[in-house]
Amino acid sequence: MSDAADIVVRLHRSLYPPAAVARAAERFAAFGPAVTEGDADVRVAFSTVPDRLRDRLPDEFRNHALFEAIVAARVEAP
Amino acid sequence: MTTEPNGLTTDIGERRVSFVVSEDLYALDVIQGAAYLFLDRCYLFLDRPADRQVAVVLKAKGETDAAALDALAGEFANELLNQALRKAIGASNAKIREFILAKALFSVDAPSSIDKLLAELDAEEMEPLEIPVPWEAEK
Repeated sequence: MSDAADIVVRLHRSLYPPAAVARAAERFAAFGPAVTEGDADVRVAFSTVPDRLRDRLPDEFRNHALFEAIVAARVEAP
Repeated sequence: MTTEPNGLTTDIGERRVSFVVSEDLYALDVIQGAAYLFLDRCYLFLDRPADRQVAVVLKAKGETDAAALDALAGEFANELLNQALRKAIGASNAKIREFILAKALFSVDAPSSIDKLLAELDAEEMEPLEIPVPWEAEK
């Protein structure tokens, strides 16, 4: 395991709504995600990431967040 | 950084290719539609370098080379066109689709469920109740 919150993923909130990011973060609960919202972006800090997943986890998470963002956009579409 | 004949300027790095798409050309839902189809093939990341600009980063899940990344970016660009066309056709056919659906729904000649229930109720009332009566039937 790595030390506290050393992997941070930043996502622009105009492309990744906070609710969608939060849903994606729920799936990654095992890695201790902490979601914080800024004016322009949503940041997700992972606190418990095994060393062998350090390279892959941010990329995997971004895909899940994008999926949730697309699903949310389609639900909201008229 | 290379510029394709179609105007797409790509930046190829280690296992990744990135380019910027203007929302003046492709709406965000079109970009998302294309991105959705690539989620299982590669890692995708969208960012906003400027207003009405979307940066698309495609990262290979395994080992790859520059030619493959260039091809991946080209496929994404093609899919952007495809999604934009689907959206345009969908919008132009919306009225026709609604009309066909409404016609299909309302032209079915089936008795309503209420009519069916009433008919069943009538049929039951005709049947004997099987309750013994204290009087003798007239002969």
